[in-house]
Amino acid sequence: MSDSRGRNTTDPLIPRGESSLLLSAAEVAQKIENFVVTSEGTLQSITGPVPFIPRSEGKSNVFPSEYGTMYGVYHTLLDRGSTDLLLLHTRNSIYHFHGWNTSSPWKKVVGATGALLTMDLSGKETPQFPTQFETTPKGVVIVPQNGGRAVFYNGETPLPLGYSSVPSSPTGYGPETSDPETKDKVNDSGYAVSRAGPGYTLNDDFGFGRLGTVDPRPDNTAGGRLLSGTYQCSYQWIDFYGNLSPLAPRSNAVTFVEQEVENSDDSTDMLRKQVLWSNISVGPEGTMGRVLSRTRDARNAGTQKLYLVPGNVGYGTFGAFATLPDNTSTKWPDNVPDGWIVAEPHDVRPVPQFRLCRLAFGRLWIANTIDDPGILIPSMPGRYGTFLANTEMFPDPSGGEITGLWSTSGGMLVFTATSSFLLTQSDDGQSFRFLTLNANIGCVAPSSIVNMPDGTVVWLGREGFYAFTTSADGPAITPISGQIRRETDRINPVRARQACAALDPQTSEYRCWVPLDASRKNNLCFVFDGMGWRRRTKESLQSVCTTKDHRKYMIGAGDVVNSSGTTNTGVWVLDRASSSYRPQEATATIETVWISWAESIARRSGKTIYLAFRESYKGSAKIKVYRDWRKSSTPAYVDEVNALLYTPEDVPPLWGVDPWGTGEWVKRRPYWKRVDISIPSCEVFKIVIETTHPIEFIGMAIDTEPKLGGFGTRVP
Amino acid sequence: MATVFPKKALNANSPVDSDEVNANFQEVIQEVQGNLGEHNWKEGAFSAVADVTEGAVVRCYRATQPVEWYDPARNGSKLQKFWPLGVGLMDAALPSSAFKVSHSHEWQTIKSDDGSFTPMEITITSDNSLLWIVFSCQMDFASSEETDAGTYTYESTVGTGTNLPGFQVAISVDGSVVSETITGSLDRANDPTGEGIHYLRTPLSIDCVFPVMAGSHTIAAKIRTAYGSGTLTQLNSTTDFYAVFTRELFIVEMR
Repeated sequence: MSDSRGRNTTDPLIPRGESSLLLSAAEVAQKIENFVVTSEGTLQSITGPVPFIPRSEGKSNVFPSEYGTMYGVYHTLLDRGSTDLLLLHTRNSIYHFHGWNTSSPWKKVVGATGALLTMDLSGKETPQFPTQFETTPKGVVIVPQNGGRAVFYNGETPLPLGYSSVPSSPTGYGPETSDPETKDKVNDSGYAVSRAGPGYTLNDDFGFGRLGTVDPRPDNTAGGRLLSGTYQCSYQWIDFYGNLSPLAPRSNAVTFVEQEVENSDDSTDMLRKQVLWSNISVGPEGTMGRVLSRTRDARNAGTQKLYLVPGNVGYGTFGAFATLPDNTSTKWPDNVPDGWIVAEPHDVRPVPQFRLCRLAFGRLWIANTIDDPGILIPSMPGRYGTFLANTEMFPDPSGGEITGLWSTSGGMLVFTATSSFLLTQSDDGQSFRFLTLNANIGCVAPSSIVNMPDGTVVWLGREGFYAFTTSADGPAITPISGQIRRETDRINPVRARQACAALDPQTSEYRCWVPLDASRKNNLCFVFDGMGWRRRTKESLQSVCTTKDHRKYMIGAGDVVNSSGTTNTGVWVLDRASSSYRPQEATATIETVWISWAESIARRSGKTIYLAFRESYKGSAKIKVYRDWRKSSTPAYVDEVNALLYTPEDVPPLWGVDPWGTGEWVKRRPYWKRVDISIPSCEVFKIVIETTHPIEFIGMAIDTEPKLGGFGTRVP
Repeated sequence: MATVFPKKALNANSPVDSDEVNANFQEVIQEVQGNLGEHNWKEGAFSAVADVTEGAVVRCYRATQPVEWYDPARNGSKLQKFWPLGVGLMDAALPSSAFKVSHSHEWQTIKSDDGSFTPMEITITSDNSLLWIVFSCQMDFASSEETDAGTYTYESTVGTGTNLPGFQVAISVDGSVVSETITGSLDRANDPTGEGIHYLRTPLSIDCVFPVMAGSHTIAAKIRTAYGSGTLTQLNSTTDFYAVFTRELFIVEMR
């Protein structure tokens, strides 16, 4: 052994983040793969995942036949937390997890056959966003990306979100006139319901008709008269969730011809009529009623506007949810006077097919429609499937495709691939306005946007990851992945839009799965803890979420390779382990940067590595050392036996080895392990620690021996 | 609440960490101590009501008041209705458990001031929850009609009277009438019998599902006489009125 007085021992290196820069301080690593930072600050190799469906009662199929290509997974709580809703979009259907049903735990909610709502969501393999989900106070909005309509689901009743079609025009029936020039032959046929005229049809127990404008003419000896008038009607469907359809085209005009009372002392109210609206079409599935709107007497009221007609059934007020509280009848006798109709109907637009949505300001904002990728439309407050006409906005003046929406403090972030905007309410609170945050930085993957615990918003842009913060200086966007730019540049740009991310509540890690290189699937996970970056490769997830309940699980949908080397597609709970399913043990790797370029002009020798571990396994890790910028297939030094993952001098009780009662279970201890290496006269060197065994890494120190004298040093 | 998974698998050749073992147990214990939910029991696990603690899913409240239609002691035969009288003058008293509806046209809670019968009013302390409130009753009436213009003799008409306006029944929560439960209409302009329904002797049932905040709430059944027109505004409160006979109010608090 060399004389230790001639050695330099580094301070303990405690790498927790990566850097792909050529010249980096040794405190960061070139690669930290398949590790999580524990609550005690150590790096621990990841465990799990486990299939979400546990084995129970001898049922071993934890990968049911429903599983196929994964498009989305989402968890939320409804009804004040009493409804636990885990949704999965796989193959061409959307499922709801029914944990109590062990034989068929996934209930088909939306699908081509055998579903609560029939809708074919046939999958496409073209690059697309993951299925989007958004929780509202009434339920979840589900936005499949492959052609199906958005669906609203409250855990019981799935329905298409709002109405995409317009009801057909109703038909109006009123009095007809057999001879307009003969006094008793006007308004005398057709649907002539009134208390006046020949053979009046309204029983006196029911009073008078109420439609029509009368002129009492108190000074005229002939008595009062009914003025010529017209009425038109329209209606809207209203569904189970209170969403309104567009207004039907107006009906034909029902016309009253001028008419005088038969006897001069008759009340002119006897001349008023009742009309009939027919062909009020039945709405599609989910429709609970029809809301009628009608003009006042268009010839005399001075307005052609439509007004809501209160229901006759029940209590005759606007409190009723619909004029016709059913989806069966098609006719409605109308005896509502003009004075009762005061509120105007909402001018609703059909719900377009859209790709993105987000809840903000009490509204559901939808964006990126099939016809107009740059459009942004708010719903009515509280009616998340009702979108008013002429409320659309275009954040990007050039009409760039909207690629992300996110609610944050102070407003809603709206992204295109190359620009970012902040939507806020106008000063009067009546409308909205946009603040351009950055005209060059955007977002490419809507499902990559996540709120960090400190309120920072993190997402994937074209050139890497970015963060949005607000401070006293105002909102700002900053790049946060400059240190791993070489890695983020490998993200498949065509399929970057399918990246998915979530914040792990247990570790506060932002985890984003991306398709790397030419992969068609998300095959690498970038991990950001607010300070540095790591990566994990154990799961290939197409969608990921965290449970909103106390369990705080991270759940992903995608592929995992099992211990037999078979790829299993399923729904997974990350960082959880089970004895019933063994995934293939991923290699946990810590690879240092090249140490250390600043001193490489004078060669030195690598002598010893001191590894600080916490006991984790009766076995050893593999140590590889490379030198002089060459990471070849043959390392300069390899050691597979000395980097022990336990302390031979103080062996703890081992599971499956030591009999019960032969040792005391206590917390696992940390220790130092010395590994002598021999890297003579090198410029730089790199250390790789890797293992498939459980490992907990604390830090390391390195002994180097400088070349003494300095004469004769070769610089290549 | 739902399926839980152990934090740490115990692997062969790995040291046993006391904290990790405890963490696995804690995960399960925390669920059992109050977080168990719909996913934690297999389908059909509860085959009997006795399997569930009372109040765990719903809480029920109920008030009932039967009213005897017959007076065996007085008439000796159950075939004799004792009110209204089938014949004769209005000399029979209203059964003490029946509720006579006032002519004030104001909403009245169906209860007595002296507590002589069970009030159709229940005060509960609830969680944030939905209440399913159902009220049902049998309505009866007394009415007089002018059978002889010269004598103005009033007779019980036993179901043929026409000189009463309609009536309205509704459910109220904390004093406010739930408008969706009101029988009849608010439009009285065109109906001589007013805004209420005019079935003089009828059974009826109304209900609603009503969300309430946590706290104390008073749920009641209310009734009023509608405002008629013409002679229907001139009623003798001794001989012309509605009465609520057998009745029930129940509430299911869906937790």
